[in-house]
Order: sequence, then C-alpha cells, then structure tokens
Amino acid sequence: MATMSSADTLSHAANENVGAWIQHHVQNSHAWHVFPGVEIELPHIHPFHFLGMNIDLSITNHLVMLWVVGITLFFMFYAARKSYEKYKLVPKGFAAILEIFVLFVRDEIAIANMGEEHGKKFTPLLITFFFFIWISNMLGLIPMFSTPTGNVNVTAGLALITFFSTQYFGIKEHGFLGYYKSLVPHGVPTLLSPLMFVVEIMGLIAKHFALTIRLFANMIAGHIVLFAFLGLIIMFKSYLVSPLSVGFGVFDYFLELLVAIIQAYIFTILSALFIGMSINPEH
Amino acid sequence: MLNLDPGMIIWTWITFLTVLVVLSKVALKPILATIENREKTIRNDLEQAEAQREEAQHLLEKHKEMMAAAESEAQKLLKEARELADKKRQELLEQARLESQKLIEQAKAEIQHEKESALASLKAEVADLAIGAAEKIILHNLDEKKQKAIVDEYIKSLPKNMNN
Repeated sequence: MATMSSADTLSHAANENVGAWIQHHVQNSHAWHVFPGVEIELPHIHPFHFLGMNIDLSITNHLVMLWVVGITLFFMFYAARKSYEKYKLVPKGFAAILEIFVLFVRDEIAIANMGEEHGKKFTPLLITFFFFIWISNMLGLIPMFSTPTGNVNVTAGLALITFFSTQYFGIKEHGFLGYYKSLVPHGVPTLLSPLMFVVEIMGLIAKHFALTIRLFANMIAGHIVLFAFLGLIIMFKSYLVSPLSVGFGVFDYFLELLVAIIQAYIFTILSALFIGMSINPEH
Repeated sequence: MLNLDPGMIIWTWITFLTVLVVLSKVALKPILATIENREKTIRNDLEQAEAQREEAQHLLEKHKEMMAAAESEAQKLLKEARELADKKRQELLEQARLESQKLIEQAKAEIQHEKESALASLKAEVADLAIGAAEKIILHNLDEKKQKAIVDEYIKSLPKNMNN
C-alpha cells in the first residue's frame, strides 16, 4: 500500500503531523486499502480472555498479507513441482531459479548448521521460513500490499516457532533432563552450574527475542525511512524537494529489496543454528 | 508499534504452520526427493564412468602387453628360422663339396686306369709293328742306304705323338 495509497492520504494528512501519518502506514489495521479511496473492511471477531490475555482473533490487514504470502508460495512451488514432473530430473525456467534457493537453503543453511542427517529433515521447515519471510518482506514494496513482517507480533510468532522447535527437538533428542543439562556447557564447575543454567536460559530467551526484533526492526525501519523521505515534500510544502525525496526513496526501495532477502537469510540461518545447537549441543 | 497482540501471534502460527504442512506435502518433499534422486543418479553415473575408464585402461594395458609378447615371439621365430636355414645351407654346401671331391677323385682314378691299359696295349702293338718292320727289311735284302730309307719311312708312317 506504499506509494499509491499514500497519495490519497497525503491530501488528508497534508497539514497534519507527518509522524502520525507514517505511523498510520506502518501499523496494522482492520481494513485493506486496496486502491486510493477504496478500503475493504475486514471482519471483527469478539475478543476473548484466555490465561489472563485478551485475545483478539479479528482478521487484520497484516493477516490478509500473510495469507497472500501463503497463497503466493503455494502457487510458486506448485508450478515448480509441475516443472519437475514435466522435465523429469532437471527442471526448466522458474523452477530452475527456485531450485537455486532451495539447494542453497538445504546445503548452506540446513546441512551446514545441522549436519547431513538432521539438516535434510529440517530442510522443508527452513525453506518455508526463508521463502515465507522473503516474500513477506517484499510484499510491502508492492502498492496495495503491506509488509506483515513489519508487525512485531508476526515476527514474534515466527521466532516462537523457532523457539518451540529448539525445545521440542532438543527434548526429543536428549530427553527432558538430558536436554536441560546439555544447556550448561561442559567443564563448568559443579558449584557454578545452577548459575550457568539460569544464564543459559536467559540467553535462550534473549536469542529468540533478538530474532524477533531484528527482523521486525529491519523491515519497519526501511518503510519508515521511505515514508520519511516522501514526507519531506509535505513538511517543506514545496515540489522542489521532490526530486531529492523521490531519488532517495527509490534508493531506499532498492535497499529494501536487498534487506528483504538478507533478513530472510539471517532469520533462516539463525533458526537452523539454534535448532542445530539444541540437537547437537557439543557443536 | 510494539504493542503485543496475542491474536496476531496465533494467526501467524496458524498461517505459517498451514503453509508449512501444505508446502511440504504438495511441493517441497517431492522436489527435494527429486533433487536427491538426481544427485544420486549423477554420483552413480560418475562412479560408473570412473570404473569403466579404469577398466578400459586396464584392458588397454593388457592389450599392449599382448602385442609386445606377440612381437617378441614373432621376432624369435624369425631368428630361429633364419638360423635353421643358415645351418641347412652350410650343410648342403659341405655335402656338395664332398660329393664333388669324391667325383673328381674317381675320375682321376679312372683316367689313370685307362691310361695304364692304353699303354699296355700300345706296347704290345709296338712290338708287333717292330717285328713286322724287321720282317720287311729282311725280305727286301737291302743295302744300308735302302735299309735306312725304309726305317725312316716306317717311322714317318707311325702316328706322330706316340713318343711315350
């Protein structure tokens, strides 16, 4: 929904605070701004209380974007699979390009961090992480759409999947006690072990918290910078700044394209590393 | 921006896990299996090619060895045949020489023998002739002059080279 709908909002927000306007654009909402002036109101679901939390399962803009990402991924990979079926062992065209990334995730991320056996098992999860985040990151660069990974709840949800995977597969591999014992590194004096255990648990939480914030902050920062450049035109109330604003805006746009894949890669490789560490603590 | 919204987290999980399951089932597993299959095929083909190359090398070496052996065998046979032929020729020459020697020897003996018998018969003839000549001289009752002329004439009538 970046540039196109911003023109529409510009007229309303022209004299208002540019900061509020930027906030409005990067925040989640209950409507999908399809075209300038055209909004689809998304259904509200009455919130309920569970474990002391107020859970609101209403359909929001970012959720719709996640679904768009999911559907896009489905068609991408479905087409790729068709290509494999058509050309037997070696696919052509789009599937061949997709295969570069699939093999990259498998060999350089999964197998490199988890070893041959576990790496192959986790490859589907890591490929889904990579493409899900990558497409999410890029979605906000297309008019009408927004970036779901610019929502901290989405990135927290993804990081929690990594967190639960580390715990689940770690316990599955070493047993409940065995796994939590393996958190404390070897060679630590017995007296220090309880302290180290607490530190390691904190580290565990911090790692996944960092995973959440890194992706979220990177994605939202790019959008804020992009809108800030365009907001300069409003703030100076002059068309003369527009070449500079648009120039830097385009530069930032390309930077975002780069950041989109880099962040997807970082999230994926860190997930692989964390899961790999919980399965093989010695490494 | 940073307000926590558990509903969104839950929706993220639902969406992500659905995508994960569907994608794995529909595309990722078949694609990864195909890729692995292809890698295995390539590895097998390469190994097979390597094995075949080695076998070919081996066969080539064996072939070369056989060629060399055949060559030396042929060379040996040729040499042997040449030696045999040489020996045979020497033998034949020697034999021929001995044969000719023997023939010459025989011929010489024959000639000697012939000559001796010829001389013996000549001697008898000469004696007969001398008697015949003496008879004529006596018959004619001659003087010394006539006698000499008759002997000369007789000697002249003899074959010329009988001075042995």
